[in-house]
Amino acid sequence: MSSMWKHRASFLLVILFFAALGVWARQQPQVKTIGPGRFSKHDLGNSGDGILKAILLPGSTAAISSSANDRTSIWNLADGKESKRFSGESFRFQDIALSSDARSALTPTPSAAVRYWDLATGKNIRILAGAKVNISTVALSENGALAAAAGQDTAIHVWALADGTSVRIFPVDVAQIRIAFEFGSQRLVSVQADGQVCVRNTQNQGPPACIAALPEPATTAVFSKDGRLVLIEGQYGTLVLWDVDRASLVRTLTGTTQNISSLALSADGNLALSGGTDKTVRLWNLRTGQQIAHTTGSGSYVSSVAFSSDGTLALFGCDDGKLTLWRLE
Amino acid sequence: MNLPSDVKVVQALLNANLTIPLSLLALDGICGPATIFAIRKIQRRYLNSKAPDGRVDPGGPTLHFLTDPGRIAIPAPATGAIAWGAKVSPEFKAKLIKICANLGVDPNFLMSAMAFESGESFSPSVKNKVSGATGLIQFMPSTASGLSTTTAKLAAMTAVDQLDYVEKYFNPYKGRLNTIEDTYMAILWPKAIGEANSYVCFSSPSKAYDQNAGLDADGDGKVTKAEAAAKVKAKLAKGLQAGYVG
Repeated sequence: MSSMWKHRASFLLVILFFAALGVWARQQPQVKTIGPGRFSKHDLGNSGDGILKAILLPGSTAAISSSANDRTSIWNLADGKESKRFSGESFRFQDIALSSDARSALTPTPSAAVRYWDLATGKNIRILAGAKVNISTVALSENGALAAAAGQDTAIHVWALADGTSVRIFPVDVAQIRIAFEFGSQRLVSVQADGQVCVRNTQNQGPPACIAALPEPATTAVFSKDGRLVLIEGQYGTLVLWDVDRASLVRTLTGTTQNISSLALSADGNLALSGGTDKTVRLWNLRTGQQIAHTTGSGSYVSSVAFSSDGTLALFGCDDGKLTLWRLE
Repeated sequence: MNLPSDVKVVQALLNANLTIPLSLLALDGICGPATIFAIRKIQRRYLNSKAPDGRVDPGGPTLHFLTDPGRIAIPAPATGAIAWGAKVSPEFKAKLIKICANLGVDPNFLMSAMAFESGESFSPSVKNKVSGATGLIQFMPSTASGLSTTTAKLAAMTAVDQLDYVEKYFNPYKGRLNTIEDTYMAILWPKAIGEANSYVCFSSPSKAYDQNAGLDADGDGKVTKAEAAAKVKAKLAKGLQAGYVG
């Protein structure tokens, strides 16, 4: 090929690139650029009542939310529309754990029973009974064999997911804020309202090993997927990253850490999101403990924040029912 | 210099301790002659003071006497009256007593804690503008989420319905809330439940101390369980007065 043809071909490629970019940009619904320009957000929809929990499903093509009006919605991220809706009291939940294939979910119900259900049909696969009072947090073990739940009940419950039988009932005398299985071990970790992080062995009924992670009551917490790291918010604004294995403080975050109402950790444990009663969503770099960016939500507080599995997207929901997608690339 | 709010607390405590025939003090926050007279009377009578100074100092013997739980008379259950009972509906009171029986808590203690948290309003919608904390025990947004609701939903329900959420919140601590201090610790600092009243809840330097420094009555840089619960105890004293008890 002559050099002139080479020149024309690259010229055409450049034109094609800009044309494609133009089409792509027009396809982005209601893109609002904020901050340093790398961050944009758009509305996903409104579930009609306060969002209790909203997460992105693996693959980042859909999201699932539950709201205070007894509604679970599946959202299509491409067009921002609600693609599926389930209604009823058992579709009101404040925590969710997905199976490894993301086809089923473990969620609490207002009656304190825990459901394992099919995301496509909404039908029950297993009902896990035993808790008497409010369950606020649930967890699935790495291999999906065990399910656990806790909250304001006087025990942490562990079941075999295959047949729903009770495996362990660990008595507790303080509210449990968040629980998780530590992957690669037999251990169940919990953040308690008294600011302690407790570790229990699911193989026996022995007492927990507890250590104070916060000098104040814990109000919100989120574990990394493998249960080895946990970000904990205290009632008076202390925000700490805690290493479960070493039972030690990794870092105390500085900046605007008051009045946080929701937290999320990225899969690699490098980024965090916080939602607050000032309607602000903040993105944190956990390696430095510094805030990277922020954006504004709606209603009176941000009730749920979540990362996509690759950490390039954030989803946040507010107490007015509004869900927003925030691009972090 | 006396803060009117502090004077009101002392006046309520004095009223609760006035077994000597004296008329009840008006809770006007003014440390006038009647208040000083009542302090002197108590110092002479109960603290065997030869030269009563008429002062109630943080950490001093007079405050210690006034806040001694053994001194605050609880109305006999036979009367069916509870602290602050005159400020809530009969339905609220009946449900509260039932919930307290489930939790093993003295209804007077839970009513006093709610009087303190709700600013004596017992309103399901009373809200702290900064933290967003709402209602009878000032549920925070994150607490509301954990209970599968929102603060807006809590604010929109009746006080009677909100008591269900109060019961859920207190459930983990049932059977262990034996004193008014323990009852309040379930809200303020659950780790202190069952500890001695000298237990240090928050100490300086910390964010928790900074935000609760107003409770540090003796100014020693530590908020003890007794100090933290003093204002709730004052609500108990006030709630047992005529016009509030019922």
